[in-house]
Amino acid sequence: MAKERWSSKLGIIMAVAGSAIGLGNFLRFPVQAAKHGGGAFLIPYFIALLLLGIPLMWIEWTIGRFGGGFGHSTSPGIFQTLWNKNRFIKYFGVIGIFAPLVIFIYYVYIESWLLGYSFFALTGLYNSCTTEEAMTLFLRGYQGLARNNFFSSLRPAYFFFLVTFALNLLILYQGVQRGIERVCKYAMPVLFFLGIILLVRVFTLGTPNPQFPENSIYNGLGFLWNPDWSALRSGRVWLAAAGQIFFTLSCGIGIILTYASYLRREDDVVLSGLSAVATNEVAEVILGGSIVIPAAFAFFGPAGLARIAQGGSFNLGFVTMPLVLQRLGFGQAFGFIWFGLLFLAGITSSISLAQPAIAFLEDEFNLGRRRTLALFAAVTFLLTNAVIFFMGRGVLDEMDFWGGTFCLVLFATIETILFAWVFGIDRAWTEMHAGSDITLPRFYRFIIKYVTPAFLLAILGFWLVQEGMPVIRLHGVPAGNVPYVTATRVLLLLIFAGLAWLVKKSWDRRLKAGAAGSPEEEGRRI
Amino acid sequence: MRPSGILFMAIAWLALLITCIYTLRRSLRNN
Repeated sequence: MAKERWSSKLGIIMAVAGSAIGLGNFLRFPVQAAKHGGGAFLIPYFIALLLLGIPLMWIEWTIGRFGGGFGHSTSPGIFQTLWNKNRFIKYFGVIGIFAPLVIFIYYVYIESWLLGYSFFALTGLYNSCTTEEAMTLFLRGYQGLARNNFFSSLRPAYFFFLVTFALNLLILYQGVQRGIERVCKYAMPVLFFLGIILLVRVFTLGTPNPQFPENSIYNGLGFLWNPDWSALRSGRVWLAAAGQIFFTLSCGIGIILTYASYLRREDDVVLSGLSAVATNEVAEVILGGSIVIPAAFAFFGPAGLARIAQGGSFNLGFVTMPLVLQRLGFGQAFGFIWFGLLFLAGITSSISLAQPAIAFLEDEFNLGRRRTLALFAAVTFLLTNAVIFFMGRGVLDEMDFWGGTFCLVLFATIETILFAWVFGIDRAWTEMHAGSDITLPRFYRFIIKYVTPAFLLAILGFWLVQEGMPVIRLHGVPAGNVPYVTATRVLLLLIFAGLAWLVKKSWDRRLKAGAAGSPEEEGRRI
Repeated sequence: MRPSGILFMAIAWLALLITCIYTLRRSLRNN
């Protein structure tokens, strides 16, 4: 099968930026910044970007392109090419297929809510909800967590899930160039355009309620940006900033490895990686930081906003924002723009989450696009149904913990050590600069070899103690949910074991076919 | 919004916009 390629540099930059720009840019970032020192949060945030985010991005682009040169598009094969004397390293690479697959399983369902809410906004279906309580009931009814006047069954949510799922498959069926690249090239400019419309509207809100002159958009921006220097003395703030950088860039998950594997060796990775990071950061800090928090502040004031933020990022997106936007002139149109923007951010991320599993089946088993997609669709459809019907039982949160948090940090740590220490920083540096449009300052050798791995190990350690252990011990899980959470863990373990078995099968096949998988073959570039 | 907040916001916006436009333009020059 002919290897897929990107048709242009803009294509891969937009695809990587599309993968990185997700709901977190618009909902998670502003909440993290507001909770952790406002403007002062930006200091650890940008330090983490320079020492952790950007180096990780370069590492993933470089090893992805390197592995692609040997015909591998996913981390088991790519890890094996980096350390071809170690027979077990490919099994660590399984994480790079497992984690995006698990995230895809629940993310595609959340994405479908955005499609549903776009429709509800346009048709004014939630217009009767004028209070937080009513809007929360609307959301819970839609999710099937409660039956109420708004929804008596899961049918609407299921319908939008089917449409979203089919849309994802349709794009993936078109392949890398005609599907992913083409969609991202159009979706990203549209996303930015919609974001700018919302930003301008929010900035021109002034003081929506003259009875409360202090609740203005100007003070709303102050709520997010005024620096609280005392926050910098808290380790939690630094950890939150590093975590935000980590999650916003789609690093440590295997996606960028797969995307970069479709590059040629003469294609630049350094400047392109930086462009993708910069595009993501503009979406996060400029658009993400200017819409939700300032708008919610102007309508609900500091006390109301603090209460809403306690309810989590999702509440801001699905409860607060519809309430705010429907109070404006052309509220239905602005509601549609808001959820449309989030849906575009979601779909460009979900297709990227699906690609590693698809590329693995296509590359290692030569299954062909149609059969690969049929298999992928059957497995993910079944598992997403478990998320849909057992959502109130903690299944989604459990998947998010293992797939979306634990595996990310672990995978990033492994690949960084593999790149800088096993592959060797000298070879790594040369490989990074092959075909590069810019030359990096040499101190980045030191950062990539020592600082980034140390940063990652620190995050892994702190995070395991602070957040990981309580979740692993089922701390705070209601007794009724324990069987469901345990079943989810067993299911995830089975998926991981199944993928590891497939990796073993594919290597056995290569060895039987004569030479593939051996160090001799791994030394041969395509 | 305090002056320090305005300063933070202005620096962050400018730095990001300049970096984004510069890197994208330079990348696309060799597209």
